[in-house]
Amino acid sequence: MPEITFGSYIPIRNTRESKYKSSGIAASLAASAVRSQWQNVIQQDFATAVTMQTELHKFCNLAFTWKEDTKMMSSMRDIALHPAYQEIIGMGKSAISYILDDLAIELSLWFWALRAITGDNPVPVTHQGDFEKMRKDWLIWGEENGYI
Amino acid sequence: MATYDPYLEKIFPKIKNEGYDVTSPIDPRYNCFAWAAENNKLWYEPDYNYIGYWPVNIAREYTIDALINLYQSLGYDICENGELEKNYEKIAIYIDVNNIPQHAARQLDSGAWTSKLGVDKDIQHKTLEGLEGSSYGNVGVILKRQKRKTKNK
Repeated sequence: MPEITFGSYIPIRNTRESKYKSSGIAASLAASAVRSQWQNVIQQDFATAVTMQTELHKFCNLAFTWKEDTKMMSSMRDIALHPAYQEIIGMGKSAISYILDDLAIELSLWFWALRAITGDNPVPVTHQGDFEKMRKDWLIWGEENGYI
Repeated sequence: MATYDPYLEKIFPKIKNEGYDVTSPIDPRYNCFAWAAENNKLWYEPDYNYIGYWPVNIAREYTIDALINLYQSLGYDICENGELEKNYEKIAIYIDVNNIPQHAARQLDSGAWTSKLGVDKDIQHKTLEGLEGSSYGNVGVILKRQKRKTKNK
């Protein structure tokens, strides 16, 4: 996911404002309308960006805690019942892209969460327990469903 | 290879005094139950989501009986202790207070044991007691089978 910084939006708005400030009244009204439209767009994008940043940070913190706390556990059931993992499942579909991004980077036991959130299962019976093959199955599923 | 792992020693307080060596890098592809069966490609687990590998002819349940059946299907039978016996190889199953399996370790030719720790590393530990405690519980069952003539290490 590309890094979205708050500052990247501000120069665009200032540039637009300065372009219209040097004109007359008509231009000023036009500038006002354009500025208003721009502000709507900016505010919507900004809100989206803030929401995404918040969710990403939440996901990263939960995922880190989960991985650290469960790395010696032998049972996937116990690993999946960790509170941080359950909270990630509780994030719902907004977590799918983050999970698949993480899965693309390193093999982790995200299969339980993906099943729970998506209600889907792209893994054939012959791949059960083979996490490398299951990882590929889910990444292909992510591409086909627009999450990657 | 590093033989000192402070996190591991925190989770298993007895392991430092009992003696251990880290013998592999982190590998989440397999768990201890698979490693005890000499499989380092699959995750053995009888989960109801059918994510883990589990033989279809063995009850898919988190019980000591199901795990014993799994190893019996590989030629193991229950035995009395974890002493090194010539021409035999052994598996020890750790259980919690509810008799739910938490871990399995496999005996090596030296008499020491090899364990896969969750999604983390393999270790060799000199005693079974080294991994006993609040995380894996205590050794509840030991099984043995005759060594095969050709054996993968």
